[in-house]
Amino acid sequence: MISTLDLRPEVRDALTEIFNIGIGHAAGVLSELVNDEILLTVPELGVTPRADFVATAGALWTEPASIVRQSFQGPFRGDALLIFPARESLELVRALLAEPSPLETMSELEREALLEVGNIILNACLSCIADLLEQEITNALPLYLESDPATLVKALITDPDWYVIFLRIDFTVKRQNMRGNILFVLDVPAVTAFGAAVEKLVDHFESGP
Amino acid sequence: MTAGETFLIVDDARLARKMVRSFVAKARPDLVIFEAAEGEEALTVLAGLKTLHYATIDYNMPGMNGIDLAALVKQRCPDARIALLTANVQAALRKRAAELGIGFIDKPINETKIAAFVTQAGAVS
Amino acid sequence: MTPLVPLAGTAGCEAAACVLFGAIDLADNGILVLDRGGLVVCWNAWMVRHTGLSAEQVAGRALPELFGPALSARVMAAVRNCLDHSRSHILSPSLNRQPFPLTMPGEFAERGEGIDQSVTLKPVPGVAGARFCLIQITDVSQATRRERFLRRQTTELSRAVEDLQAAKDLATRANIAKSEFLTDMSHELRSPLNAIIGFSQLLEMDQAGPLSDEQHEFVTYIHKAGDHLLKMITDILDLSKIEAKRLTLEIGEIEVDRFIHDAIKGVGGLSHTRGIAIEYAAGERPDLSIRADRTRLAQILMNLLANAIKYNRANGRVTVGVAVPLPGWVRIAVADTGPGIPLERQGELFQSFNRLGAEFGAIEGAGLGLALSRKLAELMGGAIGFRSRPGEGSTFWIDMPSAASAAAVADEPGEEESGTALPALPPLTLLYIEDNPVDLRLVEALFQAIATVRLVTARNGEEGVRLAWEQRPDIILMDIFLPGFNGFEVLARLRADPQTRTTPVVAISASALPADVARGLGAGFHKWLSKPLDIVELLTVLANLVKNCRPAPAPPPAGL
Repeated sequence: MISTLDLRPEVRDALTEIFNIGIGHAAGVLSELVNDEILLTVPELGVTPRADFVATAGALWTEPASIVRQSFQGPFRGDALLIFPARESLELVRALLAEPSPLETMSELEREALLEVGNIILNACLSCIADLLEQEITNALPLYLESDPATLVKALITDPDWYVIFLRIDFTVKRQNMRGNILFVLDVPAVTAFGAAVEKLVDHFESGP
Repeated sequence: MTAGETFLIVDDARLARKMVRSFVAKARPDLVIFEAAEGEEALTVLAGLKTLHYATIDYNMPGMNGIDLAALVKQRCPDARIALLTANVQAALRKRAAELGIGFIDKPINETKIAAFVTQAGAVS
Repeated sequence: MTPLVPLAGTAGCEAAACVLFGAIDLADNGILVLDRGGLVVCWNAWMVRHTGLSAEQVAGRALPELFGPALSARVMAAVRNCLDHSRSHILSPSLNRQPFPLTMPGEFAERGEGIDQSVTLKPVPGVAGARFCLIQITDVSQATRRERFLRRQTTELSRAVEDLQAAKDLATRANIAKSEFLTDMSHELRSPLNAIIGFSQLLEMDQAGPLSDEQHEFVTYIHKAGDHLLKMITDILDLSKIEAKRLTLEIGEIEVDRFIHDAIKGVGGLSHTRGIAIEYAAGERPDLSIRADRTRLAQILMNLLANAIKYNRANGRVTVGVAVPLPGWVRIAVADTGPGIPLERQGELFQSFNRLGAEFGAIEGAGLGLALSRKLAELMGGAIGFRSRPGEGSTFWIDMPSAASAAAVADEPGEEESGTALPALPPLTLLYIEDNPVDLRLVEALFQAIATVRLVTARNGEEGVRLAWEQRPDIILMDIFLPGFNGFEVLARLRADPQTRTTPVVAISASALPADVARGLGAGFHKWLSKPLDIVELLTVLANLVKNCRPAPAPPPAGL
């Protein structure tokens, strides 16, 4: 299992709630787009240093995956990845488009739809992070890859000091429930500021009336 | 505004509970505030209360989901002012809530939204 | 980071701006830039062409103002997010139906047909903290049309494939049903034939007491009729199998000279009866070999020889010859001195059941021989041909591919001598395991007259194994299809016990398929006989087994 950085349970819960809110909004946007009910939740979250993550990543993903990648920059640099098993991402995009297709691989248009879905979700998460850090973060347009995620992540995190915020997400559309992952690969200053910001937030409300 | 009115906060996220408590206390220091992390716990707390006046219930919870709990609470306390807290309000949910006479508060919550909720009397929007 | 490195420093930003704007106007996509307030500050020629709005008309205006409700709400939400939070967005064509209300430029404008678009939004930092939003629009109508077409095609294709698969399944099922029917029929027909041929043979051999001449004559008719029936059934089933493509061939090397000798011997009885002489110039090409299925080739050659004998004149002659018509081929030719075939009927020769008028004559036959022979020859990669002139007789030939090597094919081990005399048997105990009462009676009747053989019988596998242990027979004869455990299981049990391991076991089966024979011999049966039983063959087999006293082959590996 992914080991989590020494986050107090309250801090980890707070983070999960923050991302749940962000992703909840993304679900709202998506459901308007496809005119159907969409549920998106983050049941699990962890923040872990590169070494630990890379060591256990191979066990996480056993099938080829569809990946939407958005690089971002600003005062903080990194990559955001939305990862679904290849088969499931095909089902997902077809459920969203409400168009059954006899083709066994994703068509060009379907891939672009998946890019937009990734864009909406990752943008929402990025905004959560940006708001917390009270900084502006710019992102690039999403790119589509089919890859073995573990290898890709290893290639992305070249700096040994970097961290990975790892989210498990549940995506429900048309009564189909899909499981995916979101990864934020972040540089050290970002994670440090991140942790501090959440702690501040939690402490503020813990010491309430 | 009668003293001793009760407010129940139901949310599985600790931060959210703390935030609501903080904003409620600020807007209405006279309210007695109770917390529960999920449906069963909420019902237990409810059983120990004479009357419930306000409740905010998170929609996305493990176990019993928010709308089902809200329906139960409304049943037991028909005069209570209840709002569902959610980041993702969708048509089907909105309709069901309206039928039950339950309102919404968008997440992320802030002082203003909570204040508006506890200071207005009467039926919820 | 400016992309205009060569131009930087050139006199005046105007020069740079000129090039820039020129480039933007020439772009093949829609390019527009909005300022912090969401107002248009850049609008390229593509946008003009596809909206009918000039740059002057749109400058400093907001998009909702320009397009009204036709503009998708998603666009403005993305614009806000881009300007306020520097978020880049993509609006895909499948999830967003024509977010901008665009039309085909002027001369191509078709009413009601918009343009499918892929839209991206990117934040552009200006000077002194200014913020802009760059929007690019790509026309993907062709791509969407292509995909829709592809999807339709694939769906139709899938449906066609499904239909085809269903039809194929139906055909396969029908074919299997037919084959199963044929197999059942084969079995059904062979068993009563076993009785007819077997018992009439016994009568002929005076096994039930001496017969009068007339009785002998009658019994001979019955025997011949049985043989004939067997041949017809076999031919019909073979033809069906060929049609259903279920005929298996065992192609091997056949030494031609020896083969022809054997075939001529095979029709010895017929030629003798008819008084027709068969000539074969053996010495011409003694080294020739061909590649064919021995059994089937024999079937063909026997058919040709039988025809040559039957459709001949009194005291006529049949001449067999071997030739090389072309390199790589061998021709076996059978010529007769018969009446020949009229030219106008030569086309009907290879039709099933067509006997060209002979059905009204004295020569028996079903008219299947040539049809089957031709099909068999072709299956083996060869051909059958003929030449015939009325009054001059006919010559039929088989052409088969020659084998690479001229080496003689080894004799089958333990080739039994054929003959019509009953071989003598030394004293022996024979165990016969058979559940069919008629088949049982046949064998009992046969060995009743043979004093040296003590026959012990069992009705099923279990009893058979028990009797084998108790009686220690010299040879065990058994039907493969037994109630309880079948012949192979009985064999396995016999092999498992050291006392019965070396006893020779002969199998009797309704199947003569080479695959089954091979399986049986591989499992450890010493001999595999097929029904209907030929008495002479059976006795010869038994005699040879006792004579050779062959040690049993090694027990089969586990997992039989």
